[in-house]
Amino acid sequence: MSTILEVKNVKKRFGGIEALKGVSIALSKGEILGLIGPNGAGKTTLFNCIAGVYHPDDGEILFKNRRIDMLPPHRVAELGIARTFQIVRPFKTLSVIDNVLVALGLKNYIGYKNLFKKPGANDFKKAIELLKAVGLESKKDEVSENLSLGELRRLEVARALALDPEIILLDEPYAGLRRHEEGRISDMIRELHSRGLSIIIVEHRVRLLMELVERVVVLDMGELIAEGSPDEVRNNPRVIKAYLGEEEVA
Amino acid sequence: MLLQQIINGLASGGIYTLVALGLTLVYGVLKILHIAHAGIYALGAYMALIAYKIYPNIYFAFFFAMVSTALAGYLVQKYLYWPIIDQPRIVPLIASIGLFLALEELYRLIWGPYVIPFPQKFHWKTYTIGKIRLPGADLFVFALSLIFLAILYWIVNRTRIGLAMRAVADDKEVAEASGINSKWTIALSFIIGSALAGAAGLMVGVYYNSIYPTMGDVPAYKSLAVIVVGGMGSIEGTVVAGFGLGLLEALLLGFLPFAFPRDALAFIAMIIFLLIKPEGLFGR
Amino acid sequence: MNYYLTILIYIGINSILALSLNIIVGYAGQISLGHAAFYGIGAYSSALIATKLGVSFWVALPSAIVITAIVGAILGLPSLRVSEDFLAITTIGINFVVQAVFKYVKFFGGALGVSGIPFPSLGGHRFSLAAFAVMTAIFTVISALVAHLINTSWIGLGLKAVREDELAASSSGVNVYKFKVLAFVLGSALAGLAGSLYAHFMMFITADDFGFPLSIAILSMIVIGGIGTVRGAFLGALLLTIMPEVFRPLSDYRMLVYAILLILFMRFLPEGLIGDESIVWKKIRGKA
Repeated sequence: MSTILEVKNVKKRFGGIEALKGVSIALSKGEILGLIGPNGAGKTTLFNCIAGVYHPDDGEILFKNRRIDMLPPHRVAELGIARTFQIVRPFKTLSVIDNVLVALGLKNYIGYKNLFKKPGANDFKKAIELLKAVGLESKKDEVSENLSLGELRRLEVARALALDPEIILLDEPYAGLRRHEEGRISDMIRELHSRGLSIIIVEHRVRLLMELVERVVVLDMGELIAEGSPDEVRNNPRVIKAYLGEEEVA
Repeated sequence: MLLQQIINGLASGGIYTLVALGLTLVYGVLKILHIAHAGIYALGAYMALIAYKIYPNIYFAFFFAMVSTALAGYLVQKYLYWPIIDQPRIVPLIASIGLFLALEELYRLIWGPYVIPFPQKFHWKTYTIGKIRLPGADLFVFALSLIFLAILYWIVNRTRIGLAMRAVADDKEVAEASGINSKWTIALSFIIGSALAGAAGLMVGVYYNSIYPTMGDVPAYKSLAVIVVGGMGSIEGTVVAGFGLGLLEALLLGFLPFAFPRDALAFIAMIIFLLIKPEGLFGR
Repeated sequence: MNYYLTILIYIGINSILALSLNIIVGYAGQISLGHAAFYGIGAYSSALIATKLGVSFWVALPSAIVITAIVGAILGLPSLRVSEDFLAITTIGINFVVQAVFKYVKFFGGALGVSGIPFPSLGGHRFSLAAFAVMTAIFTVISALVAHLINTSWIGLGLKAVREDELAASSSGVNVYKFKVLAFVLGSALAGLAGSLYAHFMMFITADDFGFPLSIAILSMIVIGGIGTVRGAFLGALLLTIMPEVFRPLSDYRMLVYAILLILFMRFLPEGLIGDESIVWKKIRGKA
C-alpha cells in the first residue's frame, strides 16, 4: 500500500510546553489508523498540525509527497484532507443543508469568478445525498443549533465529506455520545472506509476502536510510545502504564 | 524644567491608569468593551457636586463619589450586561455606547451644558527643592493615584477576591469548576473599576477645577488606547501604558519645537500598536 | 410635498447605507464601528470629482463607488488581520482619522467643506426633486438586489460561515481573510454609492456630517431592524430616518430618548424587530 500522509518528526511547543516532541507517523492509502493516548498526549495538536491550524516548529508533513505543513486550513481542505472537531463546531444559525453546502462550495471559493453564482440543483442533490449517508436527510431545513449532539457529529462528518476528501481526520467522534448512538458512528466509519477513504481516528477510549482499525499508534506526552495492531497495543506495558489513572483501557 | 514635565506626566498618567483599569478589569472578566465606563468617570465628578451640598468636605466627597460610582457600576453590570452576555458581541457594545450617550445627556439636562467649577477652591502650593519647582496639584494627583493603585495591587495580588478575579479573567469555566462564584467576581470587578473611575473623575474635577457633561469623551478614547497598548485585560500593561502615555504626552509637549495636539498622541500610539503588535505590551 | 420627497430620499439613502453595513456586520459578522467614514469617502470623492474636474453626476457617482471600494480594500487589508475587539477599536480609529483628514487637509476644503456640488441633470435639464426621489428609489432597489444576491450565492454562504465559526469555515475550504476583506470592500462600495447620492442631493458637505455618531446610527438601524436581513435594514433605516422628525416635539430630550431606546433594544430585543430570531417576526410568520 502506498503512503498517502507522512508526519515526519513534527515538534510543536506552546509557550513553555512541548506538545509534540518529534512525532513521526505514516498513513497508507485506504487505511484506518487509530490514534490513542491519555488526555493531553498531543493527539488534537497533531491533528491541528496536519489540518493547518497550527504550523509545526520543526519537522514536515507530507500529503502525497507534497509538503503541507505551512499551508492554511482552507488550502489543506482544498488539497483533500478533511477533519472533524473534538467539540462540534456547526454553523449554528445556518440550516443543516446549508452547513453542508458551505463545504460543497469549496471549488467556487477559489478565485472570484463563481462567488456570485448561486448553488444549483446539482449542489442541492449532492448535499442531500451526503445528508442521506449520515441519516440526517429528514432534518435538512432544521436550524443546526437545534440538533442533538449525535446528530451534530454526523453533520460534521457530512460536512467533511462534502469536501470530497482523500483523508478524513476524526477527532473523538464518540465523545459525549450514548451507547445507542455509538453504533451509528461506527457504521458510518466503516462505510467511509469501504469507499476508499484513508482515515485517522483519535479516540482515547480504546475499546471503541478495536473492531474498526487495523493499526494503532499511541501518543503520550507528545511522544509516540507504541505502534501495532489493537491487540499488540493494548497489551503493551508502556501503554498500560500511560493509561494508569485513566478511566478505561479495554 | 524636565522634572516639572515628568511630575506633570505622572499626574496625568495616574488619571489615565485609574480610568483604564476599570476598562481592563471589566474586559478581563467579561470580554466586553465597556465604553460607558467613561460616563461613570464623569459621574464621579458630578457626584462631588451633590456631596458638597450634603457636607462640604473633600474626604466626604471622595467617599460619596466612589460609593456612588461603585453602585452605578454594579447596577450596570447586573441589569444591562449580564442579561445580554450570550448575545453576539455587537449587542453589548451598542448597549454600552447607548449608555455612555444617555449618561452624557443626563448630565447635560440635569446640570446644564456649561463648565461648572469644583465646589471647593484649593490653593496649591508649589514646593521648591533647590532649583526644582514641584506643583502641589500634580503631586497630589500622582500621590493619590499611587495610593489607589497600591490598594488595588493589594486586592488583586494578596486577597482571595483578587485571586478569584484573576482566575475568572484567565478562564471562566475552569474558575467556576474550582468553586469560584463568577457572578460575584464579575460584579466585584465592576465595583472596583467603577470606584476607581469615580475617584479619577473627582480628581480631574479638582485639578482642572471644571466639571462638564462631555468630560468623559477624551478619557474614553484615551483609555481605549491605553488598554490596546498595554494589552487588553492585563493590569500590569494598563499601568505601564497609562503612565507611559502620560509621561510621553508631557515630555513631547514640553520639548517639541512645534505645536503638537496633545490628544493625538494616544491615538497615534494606538494605531501603531494595532498595526504592529495588537496584543499590546503585556497581552496574551 | 417637497418635505415628504426629501424624507423619502433620506430613507432611501439610509437604506442603502444600512444594507451596505449589513454585508460587513450582518453577513460576515465583523464589527465595524466606523462605517460613516466610507459614506464620507463616497460623498467627498463624488463631490470633488464633480466640482474640481467639472464632470457630471453620472460620471462622479460610479467613480465614487470605485474609489470608496479601493479605499475600503486598502483600509480593510491591515484591519481585518486582527481579532474582533481590535477591529471595533480600529474601525473607530478609521472613522476619526478619515474625518480629521476631511476637516484639516485643505484639499478637502477643510472646515468649509465642499460646496457647489451639482444636482444631477439629464440633457441639460436639472432634475426635479421628484426625479431625484425616483432615482434614489431605483438605486435603493438595486442595492437591495445586490444584497439579496450576495446573501443567496456562494459568497453569502462563505461569509455566513465566517460569521458563525472561523475555524470551521476555514476547515471547510473558506479563505476567511479573503472573505472578510471582500465583505469590507462590498460594504464600502455600497456606502460610497450612498455617499455620492447624499453629496449631490445636499450640494454641500462638511466633515461633521460623517462622524462617529453617524456610524452608531447606521449600526443601530440594522440591529433595531433585525441584523443580517434586507427587510431589517429597510425597517431600521425607515425608523431612524423619521425618528428625528417624530421626536421633534421632545426637542431637548431627543438624544436622551434615542440613547435610551438603543439601550432598551439591546437589552430586550437584540434580534431586532423583524430579524430572523425576533419574536415579533416569528409571530408575524405565525410560528412563535
